[in-house]
Amino acid sequence: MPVLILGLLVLSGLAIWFFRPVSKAQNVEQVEESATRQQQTATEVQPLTTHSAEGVCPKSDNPDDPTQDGWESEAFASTAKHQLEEILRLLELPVNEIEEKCKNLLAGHFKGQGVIPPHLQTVFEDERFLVQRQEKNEKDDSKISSDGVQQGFSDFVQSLKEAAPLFSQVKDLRIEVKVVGVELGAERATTKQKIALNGRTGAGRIEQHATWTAGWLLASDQNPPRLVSLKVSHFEQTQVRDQGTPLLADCTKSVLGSEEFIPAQVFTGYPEHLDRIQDWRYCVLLGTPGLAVADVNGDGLEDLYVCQETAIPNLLLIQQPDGTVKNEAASWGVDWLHNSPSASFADLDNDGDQDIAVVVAGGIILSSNEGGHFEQRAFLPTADDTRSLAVADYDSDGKLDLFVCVYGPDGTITDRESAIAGISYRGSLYHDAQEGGPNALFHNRGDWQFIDATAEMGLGEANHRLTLAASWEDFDNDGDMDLYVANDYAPNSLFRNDVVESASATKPSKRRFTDIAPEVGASDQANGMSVSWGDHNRDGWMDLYVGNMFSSAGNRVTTQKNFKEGADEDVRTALKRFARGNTLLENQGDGTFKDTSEAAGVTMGRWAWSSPFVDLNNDGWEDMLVVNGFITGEDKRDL
Amino acid sequence: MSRSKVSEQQGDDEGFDQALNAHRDMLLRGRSFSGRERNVAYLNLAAQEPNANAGGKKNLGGDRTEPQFANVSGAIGIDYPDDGRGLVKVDWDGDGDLDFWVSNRSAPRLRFLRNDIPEKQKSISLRLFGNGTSSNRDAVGARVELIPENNPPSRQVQKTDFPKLVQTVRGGEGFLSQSTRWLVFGLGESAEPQRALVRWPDGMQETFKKLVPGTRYTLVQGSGQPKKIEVRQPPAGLRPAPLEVPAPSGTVRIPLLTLLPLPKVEFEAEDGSLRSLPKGEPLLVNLWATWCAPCRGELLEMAERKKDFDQQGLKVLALCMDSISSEPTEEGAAEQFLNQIQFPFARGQATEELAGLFQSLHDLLVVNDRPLPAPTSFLIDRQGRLAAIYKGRVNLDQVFADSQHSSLSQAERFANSATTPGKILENEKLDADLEALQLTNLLKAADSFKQSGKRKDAKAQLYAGIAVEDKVEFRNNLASLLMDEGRFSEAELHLNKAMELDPNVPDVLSNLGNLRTYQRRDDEALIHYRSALAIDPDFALARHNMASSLASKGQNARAIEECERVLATDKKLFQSHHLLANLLRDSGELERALKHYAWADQFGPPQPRVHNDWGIALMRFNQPTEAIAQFEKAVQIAPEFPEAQTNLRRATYSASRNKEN
Repeated sequence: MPVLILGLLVLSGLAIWFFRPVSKAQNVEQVEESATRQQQTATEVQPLTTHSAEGVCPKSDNPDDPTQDGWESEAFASTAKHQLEEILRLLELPVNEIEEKCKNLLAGHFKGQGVIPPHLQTVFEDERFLVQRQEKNEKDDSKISSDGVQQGFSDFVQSLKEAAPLFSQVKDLRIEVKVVGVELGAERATTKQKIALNGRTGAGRIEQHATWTAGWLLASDQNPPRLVSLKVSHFEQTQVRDQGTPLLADCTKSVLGSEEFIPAQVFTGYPEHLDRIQDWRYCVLLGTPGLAVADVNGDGLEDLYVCQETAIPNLLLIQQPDGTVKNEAASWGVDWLHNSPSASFADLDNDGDQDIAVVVAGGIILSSNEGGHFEQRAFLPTADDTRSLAVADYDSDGKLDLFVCVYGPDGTITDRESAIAGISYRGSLYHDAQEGGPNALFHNRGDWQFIDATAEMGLGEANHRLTLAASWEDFDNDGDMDLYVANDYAPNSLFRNDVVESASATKPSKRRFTDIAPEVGASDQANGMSVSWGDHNRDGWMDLYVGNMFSSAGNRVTTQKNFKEGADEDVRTALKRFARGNTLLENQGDGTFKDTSEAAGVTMGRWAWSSPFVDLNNDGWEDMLVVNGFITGEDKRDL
Repeated sequence: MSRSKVSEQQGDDEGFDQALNAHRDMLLRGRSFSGRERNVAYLNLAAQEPNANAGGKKNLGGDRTEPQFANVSGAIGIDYPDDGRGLVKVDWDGDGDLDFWVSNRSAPRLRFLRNDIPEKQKSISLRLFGNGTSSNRDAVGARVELIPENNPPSRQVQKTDFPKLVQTVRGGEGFLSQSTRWLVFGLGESAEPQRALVRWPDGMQETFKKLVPGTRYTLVQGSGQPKKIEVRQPPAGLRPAPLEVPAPSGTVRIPLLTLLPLPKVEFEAEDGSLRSLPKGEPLLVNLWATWCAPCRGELLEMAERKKDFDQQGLKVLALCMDSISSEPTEEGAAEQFLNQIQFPFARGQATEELAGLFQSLHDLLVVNDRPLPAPTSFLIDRQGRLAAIYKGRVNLDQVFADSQHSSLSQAERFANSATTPGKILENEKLDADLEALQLTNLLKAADSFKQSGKRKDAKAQLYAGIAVEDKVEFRNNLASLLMDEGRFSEAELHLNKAMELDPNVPDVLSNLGNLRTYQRRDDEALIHYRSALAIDPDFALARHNMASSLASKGQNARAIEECERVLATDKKLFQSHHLLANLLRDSGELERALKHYAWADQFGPPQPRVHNDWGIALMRFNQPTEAIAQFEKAVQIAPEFPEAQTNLRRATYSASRNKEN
């Protein structure tokens, strides 16, 4: 019998596209479902459906459901979180109701500390701030009893009762429990969590942060677990005196006045813009509104440039004498509609005024300040998926050069949905992603001539990280500018600026950048989001504060025994590190850095982006601000 | 992450990919991911540490037992849940402390936070200017150290006992942010005059003396003299006030960058018959429902402005969705309403297919996948291309203006799609970038139509693509579609054109091979497959097809070899398992053949042929009972499969004979 020849396998296209089938059935369902739901609303728009939990993600394939994905510890974490929130909510109750409620939440034989330590020590106090911490000896287990810290159930109740009067005065009390570790046994469980409370008081604002280790007695039936022990290993309370408005007073409303752009560009969030944005390439879900500051018109007042995503015009907010702004982007000629992640003002032609470099997807637009308007002088092509811009004169020739960060590679992401969400590490190593687009260094040769000096300066090697940010600084105090580069899903780079003296007199010396991060302890292998330099310990050497991701879920999962079981210990450690949060790298003054993040207490920056050093209170010591959060959708449940 | 790869050697974990996909799709449908996080502030406590002013490393940093920083996020009021991105520091009001502008993903997209620390916490602010020749004018890179006037300069050179106060002029830090070039040196409540030791970018050292706390100065390189800036009166326009962001209106205008030819789609006309959308004239299709108040208002407005529509040459087709929604509606309510307002345009009922089609086109073109609201309108141009989508009530004047949208150039269409007018840079690279998006969308649309069996509509997208730019992808995909329809000579024309555009595209070469196979020109087919594989040796489909050709030429040994290579790259290509099984069966390697039939079955959809061939193999090795099971499966999947039916009869007969024996 002859071989049966099978039919040809025919390709549908050049690439195997991810496509969305024109699905009839799905839409029918939506139409039907929605109609019922939206009947009563008579707003301008009546959606045919809402994204309810049932409608969008059936439980069985919901990747966010911890009971479904094999991590029992995750399910327990959410239970523990709920129980602790219940306990903290008792602070808001009338004192006489507390004890009864405690019976459902605590085991009768509870042993441990109260939620608020009885003795606080002042560690910082000035006209505005009062920072207090748990007295040191309370942390010592052996001293718990001798120091009179509450031990049993009734002591715990008493501590709540003592704290409650204070909290009953607090308005807008916010309670946050982040479970960062779970050990689950057969009858008992232990969780570790970060606790935060804050709210307004008559005199200002109060804020508490604590780290708790909680022991749980598991119930055999459907009842929730009860707290059987509590250890408070860190407790910090800050009170700020203010007159109703916080120390950082939100003056947005008055500074913007009634400018025309407000409805479309301040009150319309990026998620709403995505309802009409059509360029889905390059991680469009992220949102990249860059900012730059300078006195553009020479009136002595600082002005602000606001970068906007695709099909939203950039803003140039010129400060008026009364502090308010007027958007003059159009008359200055910089109301670019191109997707503009970042920009920098700089006197690029050394003529005494502020020129502007606007980074767009695919290049940098350079424009010269001609008094009253910017005139476009050059377009420097780059890879498409651009991010932050860092300006400095790296070769000390008196002219400012540009380094631009690039995240994903050009045009290779054809999977629309992944491109949108920026899931570009697919297929590469989570902790060592190497499939980014190339960063670029442009050398300013004067007269608006810029050449790509990336390769020549040694920055072309291994130039394939997913880079989000970079900043120049003379970290080794040798008089030239070095460059720190923050990469997502990978080690960061510290490029040391070296001049290699030529052996022969006729040949000029040669400048090269060398990535020394691994040797000097500056790699900070995690999700590098931002870079800030500052001398936080005032030793004359610039330290680094690097934005990263803090993830309580990440902390929980990576500390489980079965996480990456069998994988290299190095890899496990590296992955664990990814959930820790922001990093403080202390410059040791000998060319190396020391990671002091945890000792300094500055890791919990959450899903951090810009995380600059700044001396908030003019006491000469650098503080830090962290703006954070990844994606807030209209569906409040968080992945 | 728990499912991510831990080494390059590890294969792709499908679970990880699936989790990622699910994750991603949920994000696209509006789920949050680390959203509503609250901004953080850390206060440096070192100023009040007992040994802080002893300075140096020995008492700071590593040796401390208490965290150097306190979390004061809520206490100072920076803890907004806005999905912050950029943050710039700037002494906006000139009062000597740093204020902040924050940019956000969520609304409000901008916040200005004024720093209200007590006035007695003084600073010295310095703006440096380089000479503009050896040092850049902005003095980026200049290092400034502030020291009290009463300290002899000679001591400053060595390590000193008191903490240093050092800053650098910088050009970009944080994420997407460039802060002020002013350096603000906090001095606490000290009134002691300071001097600034400046190291300019060119290396020149200069000292500026007698700087008074609470003052702002400019320092010009080489001048040696600080220049005092006049004190600014507190700007009167800044007042703290809560910012209330109004809820989004929900109306969205989407003039399209990619002009997709609208596929053939039908609606239910008044007489109950199914009709295609009218062609040849610009058309506004309005989807509405009787239970939707804004819809009714909108239709009334359209009716009232009939003249304007006529003037614009724009037709309207109002399609009611009552019959495809589960909302209780009254029979004839739509008709009654339209008559009542004397609706002067065409009308009908939307079909499920029509609603589904518009939804999927929207989802293909716009980033957010969200169900279309009622009302939604679609502007279709004279050539039958989708030109704009309006979610929510339309602004009719805007629609009239947009009726020119599809005749605009690509760059103009991009500008027209903006929220507010803005500027476009005329630049080849940026144009090409925009065009690439359009071409990719057309390819994707073609693909999705092909997948749903709409070949003609798929081809329309590809022709539209060729009109924008003649590209290999379009030609190749057209050829594929035409080959599916048996139109080989037309397919050949497109493949030849594709070869002209680029002779080295494996997919085109492979398709040429396929074409020759269809034409039973196996020798030529083999040449093309080989060329494709020379460029991309891992091209499993081409290799599989080559194996097929070899098999049909009777070169079974080589065909087996190629199948094995295919499966080494793509172990789940069930067709290759099937082919290999047949080849092995015919070479007498029963054991292996049976294994591959099982895999072909496991990795593929239900395939009657696999079971039939499997049965044949079992028959040949005289296992009629097992063979019967396979034939039965084949017939079960495809009752009209004569070969399997015949085989089943034969096997049953042979089994019964075996029994008799």
